[in-house]
Amino acid sequence: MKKIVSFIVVFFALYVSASAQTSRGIYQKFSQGKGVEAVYVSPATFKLMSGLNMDLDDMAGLRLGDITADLTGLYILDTESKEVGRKIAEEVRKMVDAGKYELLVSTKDDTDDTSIYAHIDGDTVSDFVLLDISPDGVHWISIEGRIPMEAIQKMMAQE
Amino acid sequence: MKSLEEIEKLDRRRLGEIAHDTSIKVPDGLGRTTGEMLDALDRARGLADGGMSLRTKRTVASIAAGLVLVVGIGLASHFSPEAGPADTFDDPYLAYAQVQESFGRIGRAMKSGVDRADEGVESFSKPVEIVKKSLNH
Repeated sequence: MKKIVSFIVVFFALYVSASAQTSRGIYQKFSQGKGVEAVYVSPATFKLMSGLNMDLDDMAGLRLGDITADLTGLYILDTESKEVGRKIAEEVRKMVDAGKYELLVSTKDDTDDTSIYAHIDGDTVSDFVLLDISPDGVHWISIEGRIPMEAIQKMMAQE
Repeated sequence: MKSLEEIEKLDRRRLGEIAHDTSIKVPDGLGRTTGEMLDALDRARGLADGGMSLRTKRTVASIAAGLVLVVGIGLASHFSPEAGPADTFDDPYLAYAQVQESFGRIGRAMKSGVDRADEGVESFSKPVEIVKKSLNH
């Protein structure tokens, strides 16, 4: 009986730790923390936005509907706390290491360390993750959903 | 020492008397667990010839029940509509502004990385030209 209980406890612990390694898990773990600013946009809100049919300003003619039609979630965490920021960065790195993310861009200078990861499937990019670490704090953005490559090119074309 | 048949015939009252009888010495090596006694009873009843022992059946049933419980809780928490976080914005226009800012930030970061990569390629091409010229001489 002790072995069965131990097995169940270990199974639960693994389940809990694994659940933190998704964008939703990371957001839920840190969003209520002190000194953390959190933003979440749900699939339902994205559907409402695509119905608004607006252009994204200064994005080379990119229409919001081009992007939001297939988006399923936007998660943002922003903190100036070094300790919390370190923990968020650690969880994000675990997530990208465990998932099928590719490192798209990594820039580092004296002050800032910025990395962008994504799933790439042919001409479609899905699940963007941006992790920006600076002396001001840590900023994390996770966008879930499919984005056409053309839309990304227009995003990069903006000044 | 009593035989298995004699033990099976003992009633609860008699078992209690034996338990409280301090004159009866426990033979050396009699360190049986309840499970081993159950296995012995099962073998005596002929359950060991092909089927699982009662102890094994109970163990399997307990593990299965535990797994069903864990999986059920996991599925319920995963698919529950109330399990997700709450939307930050009630107004889709505010959400749009945030999405725009986020995409802008990602786009600027990607452009910055690509620009730095281009600078690196440009600075690398000059030494390559120098090497080519020196090899052609």
